[in-house]
Amino acid sequence: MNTECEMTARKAILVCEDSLEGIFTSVYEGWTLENHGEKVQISVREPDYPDFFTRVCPVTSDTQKAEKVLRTIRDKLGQRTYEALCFTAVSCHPEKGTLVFRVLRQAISGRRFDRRIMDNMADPSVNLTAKLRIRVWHEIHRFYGFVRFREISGKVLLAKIRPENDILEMLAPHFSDRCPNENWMILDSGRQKVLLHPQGGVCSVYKDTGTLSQINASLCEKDLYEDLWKGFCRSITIQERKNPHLQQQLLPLKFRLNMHEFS
Amino acid sequence: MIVQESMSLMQKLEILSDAAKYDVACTSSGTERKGDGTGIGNSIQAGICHSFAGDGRCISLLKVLYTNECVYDCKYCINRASNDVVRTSFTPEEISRLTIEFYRRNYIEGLFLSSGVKGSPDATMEEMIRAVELLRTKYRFQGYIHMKAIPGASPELIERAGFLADRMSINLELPTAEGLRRLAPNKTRKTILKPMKQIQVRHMENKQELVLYRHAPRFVPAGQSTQMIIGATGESDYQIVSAAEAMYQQYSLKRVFYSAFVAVNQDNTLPVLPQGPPLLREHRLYQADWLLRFYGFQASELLSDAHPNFNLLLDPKCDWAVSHLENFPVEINTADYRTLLRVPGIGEKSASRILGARRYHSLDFEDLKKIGVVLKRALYFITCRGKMMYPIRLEEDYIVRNLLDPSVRMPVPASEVTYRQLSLFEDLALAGQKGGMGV
Ligand code: SF4
Repeated sequence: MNTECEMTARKAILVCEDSLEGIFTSVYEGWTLENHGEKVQISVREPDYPDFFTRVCPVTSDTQKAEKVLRTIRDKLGQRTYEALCFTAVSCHPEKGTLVFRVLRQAISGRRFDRRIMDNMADPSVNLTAKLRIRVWHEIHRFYGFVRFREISGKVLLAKIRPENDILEMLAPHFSDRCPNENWMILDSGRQKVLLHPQGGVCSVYKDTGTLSQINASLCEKDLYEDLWKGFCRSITIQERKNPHLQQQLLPLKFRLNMHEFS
Repeated sequence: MIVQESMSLMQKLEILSDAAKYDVACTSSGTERKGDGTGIGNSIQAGICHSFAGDGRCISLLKVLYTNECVYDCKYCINRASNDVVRTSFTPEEISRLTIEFYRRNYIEGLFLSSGVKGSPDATMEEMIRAVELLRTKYRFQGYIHMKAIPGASPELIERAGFLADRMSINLELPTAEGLRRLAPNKTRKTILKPMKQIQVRHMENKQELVLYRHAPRFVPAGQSTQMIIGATGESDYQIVSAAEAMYQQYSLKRVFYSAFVAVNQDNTLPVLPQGPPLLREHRLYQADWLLRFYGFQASELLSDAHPNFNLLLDPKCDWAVSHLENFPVEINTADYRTLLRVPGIGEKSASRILGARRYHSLDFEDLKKIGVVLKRALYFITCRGKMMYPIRLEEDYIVRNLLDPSVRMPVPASEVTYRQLSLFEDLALAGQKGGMGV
């Protein structure tokens, strides 16, 4: 914590890295501050124009602190709240840090833990959190279906996605279970990181540029099954029921970029 | 019959998926199975859509016929024996390989295998089973498999298929025995219902076995479904919905699918449909089906001999509500779950949210909007703290007129779009959970 912050301030903006770790470390730090009368906000970006009564404190991610907060949430507030807050924290909403903090302040006061906090839909913070949970859950679930692997030289399956929310890591359990005996990689092209699964092993995330440029080069290779798949998607359509509007509603164009049946 | 012997895999796939497209069910839902690490695949309870076809239908499974060489002559079917179309068959190796390669690339959740009747029902069923056996044993495939039972196939084969597939289905085809006799002369109610009963009974026995031995092999774990063609014969909606209700009650079906008749053949026994397939009617039937399965409605509440067809302009729940105004208005802050579910504009999600939220404080219309209640429809049927949203006459004609009138606009807050999106997502999520087709 930055001790040089102005102590007379009424409001503190904690600025942290855009990750679960960053946000939940900030929750940890912010808790004491707010107990001492400061109004806390958590931001993953430097604020543009902090006003006179606001101090800006950078927070360094601390795995232990973040895990402590996450454990408390899961144990004391239950799986549902835990999931809602984690999904909110990886969402692309600019206020997500503060939102997580506000919901937690409401759910925990002193020694009282409200396990049903997510029922309080009439509260604006809870309501928005619930909405973000669904939105992120929905994106994860969509990518379960929309990820397209391309086989590279008969050895590796490669996919590229561009999710709105930071969900790459959250795809790991599903795809590891689905294809345990394959080498596969999923690239988040927006955030420039890749989830890598070795045959029979566990997933890890890479951000180094060497791996990334290699992957991008490989993605240009051709996979023969793509033509069969395209042909199938064409012939399974009932022409008499053609409905591009509905198709687009269910499968928005932004997802189609990396789906071979639309290329 | 023109049977093409040497044909590329691409040509076969095009012909045999084209021939399978009228089968409605493409859901991969109903089984939750983790991979065991030895092979490939898993299965998610809610099912997964991998793509959407040009007609807006979800693509979840590799949906193909094993063969379109068919000795039967169902009037409505493109593959009937009397039609002059190119015929071909897969081999078990081709089907299993194609499934695995599509699956690895995350195109699909699994296989939907149907077939024309090549030679005899038993011979066809044997070949289909061989394909699926290859998948399960050679490739150790643990993804989803939906298999059609061929009417007339022997009980032994049905039994074998049931231990390989997640879901089985036998198409009821037409809502009445008379319709079946006229349009599907080679099939009878008996050859359709007998395997259906067998699967139901075996499924129940298997449940008992699973209680005793947790690792016993599972028989059709995702249950069975069926499908009816809508609009090929003269049945009323009441007959159709009653047939569906009987299917749910007497055969414990997971899903009944409705398929708007598409006129692919010229035949004097078939209607000509210049406006295309009766899609709106099909939609209303799905909505009614939803009410039967999840909202505690009965067919006889929704329709009667005097009122045998759904109002195409009003969804079945609104239609029911306006003709049962004696049950309304309902007080949001005290009504129980079942009562809330019967209010137009309140779904399962919003009903349980109302129960959750009103523990914090009593709710008003603003809260309901946040919860996702469709006030535009609900406002005629509810009160909050004893008051209706607007002074409204509880009269059938008046309400119907307002429900229909597109110019009736709600005062909308700026964030309305987000709410709409939210409820759209939920509908989708629900549809997934409940088995694919949304209503
Ligand atoms: S049995 Fe009837 S519906 Fe099935 S493929 Fe043959 S003709 Fe078509």
